[in-house]
Amino acid sequence: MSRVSESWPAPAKLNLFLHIIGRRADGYHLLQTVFQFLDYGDSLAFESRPGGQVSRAEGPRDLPEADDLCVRAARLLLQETGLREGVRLRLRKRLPMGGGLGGGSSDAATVLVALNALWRAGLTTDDLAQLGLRLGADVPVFVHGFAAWAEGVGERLTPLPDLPVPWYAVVRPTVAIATAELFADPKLTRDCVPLTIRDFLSGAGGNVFEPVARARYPAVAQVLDALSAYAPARLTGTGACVFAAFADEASARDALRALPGEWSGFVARGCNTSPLQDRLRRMSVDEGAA
Amino acid sequence: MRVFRGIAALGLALTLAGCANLPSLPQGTEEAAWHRHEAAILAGTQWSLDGSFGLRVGHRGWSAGLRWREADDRYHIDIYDPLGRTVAVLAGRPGDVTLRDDRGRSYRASSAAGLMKRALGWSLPVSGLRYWIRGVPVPGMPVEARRLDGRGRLAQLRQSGWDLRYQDYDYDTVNARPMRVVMTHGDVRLVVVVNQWDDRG
Repeated sequence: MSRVSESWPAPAKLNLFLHIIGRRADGYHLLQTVFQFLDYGDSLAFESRPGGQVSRAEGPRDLPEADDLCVRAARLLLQETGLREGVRLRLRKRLPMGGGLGGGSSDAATVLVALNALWRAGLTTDDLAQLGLRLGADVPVFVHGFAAWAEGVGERLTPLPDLPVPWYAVVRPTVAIATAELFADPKLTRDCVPLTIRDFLSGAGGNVFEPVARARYPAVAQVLDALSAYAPARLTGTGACVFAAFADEASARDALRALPGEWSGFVARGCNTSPLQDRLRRMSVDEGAA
Repeated sequence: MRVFRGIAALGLALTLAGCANLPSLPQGTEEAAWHRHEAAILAGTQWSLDGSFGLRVGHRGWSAGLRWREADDRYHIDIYDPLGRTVAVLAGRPGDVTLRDDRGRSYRASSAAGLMKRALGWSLPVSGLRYWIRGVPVPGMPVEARRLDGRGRLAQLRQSGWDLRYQDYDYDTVNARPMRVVMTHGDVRLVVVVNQWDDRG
């Protein structure tokens, strides 16, 4: 077992609001959003292997290895640094696929950050974020690991270190959302008036995907309505997960427990620094102390 | 080993936990964090894990895959060999357990550990494991020793004659779940490694 690393967190994110303010010439939507992390999510462990090969431990997944974002992240890091290390990825999934919690992007970011540290590859966080952007628009925010105001396609980040850190109840409607369909929906609002950070902090902003997800997926509407009985509920990303903020952990758990049993969910604390960055700092401190 | 030389240092630091300059929680804060963590775990009535275990009793040893599901005090435990073939299935609730072995024979008794001993020749401390594997002591049973890890989670626990060492967690917070636990009792040594946690509610 000595060749297997400790676990590294790949936390979930929430979009506290999500607007589309326009479209680039290449068709990409221009977004405004706020990302905040949760102290809950997937985790990864890394097993050293000889010979520069990247593989993943078998899991109950139907994704070809070459399309696996984690495998691609590790290969990209090897290619970029010229290192000849080999690794087997052990991904422990807690986050639903297609939940709007950023699971896949977070997993890839953790691979980049953890392997850079374990291999002492020496890339800076900015280097890793640049690599991450090649894997997906949401990867850089997980690499940087600070709660942020995001613009562009989601890659232009301004830290928001002082956001409130409530307890969230996160509920997953039993439905898979087709993100592309939502983006293509003619009723989607794509011309929101650009907000400022100050507008957001004084309560402005919603999630433009909420009305279209509500209309297309009755299960999403049901969860939004049921959770709203306890605290204002909102969609994260393009869904399907719905969240609401509570002042304390017990209230969040009470709300979750009171919901009908067919929905799964969890309670987690909002974090303005990602558990991944905390883990990275802990490694540096431990090494300094050892 | 060059690749994960950081890990060796990390392992050392963890063994020495408490004396290194870890960014630990202040003591009073940590007790409070632990009690929140424990309450949150005990509040969850539905959970499952996939993993494996290695068991050594004196000079004899067994290892197998483990799939454990619980819902509202009922448990279902699959034990399978490296090829995925079922070795035994335990199902029931505390006080009433059924074990089905690889030849389809069923056994029923009030204790899972006794059943396993009878049917398989070895056993897991199921009634304790139901809690220990989630990183909490069995409620209502004396805790002989307990040490926290600086982040509000168990580093070590002694209960019911078992000594438990928690060697890895996935998160640093209230949502942490153990990923590797080493348990000893006399000449019995049990290592459980978790690959996957799933907990709802």
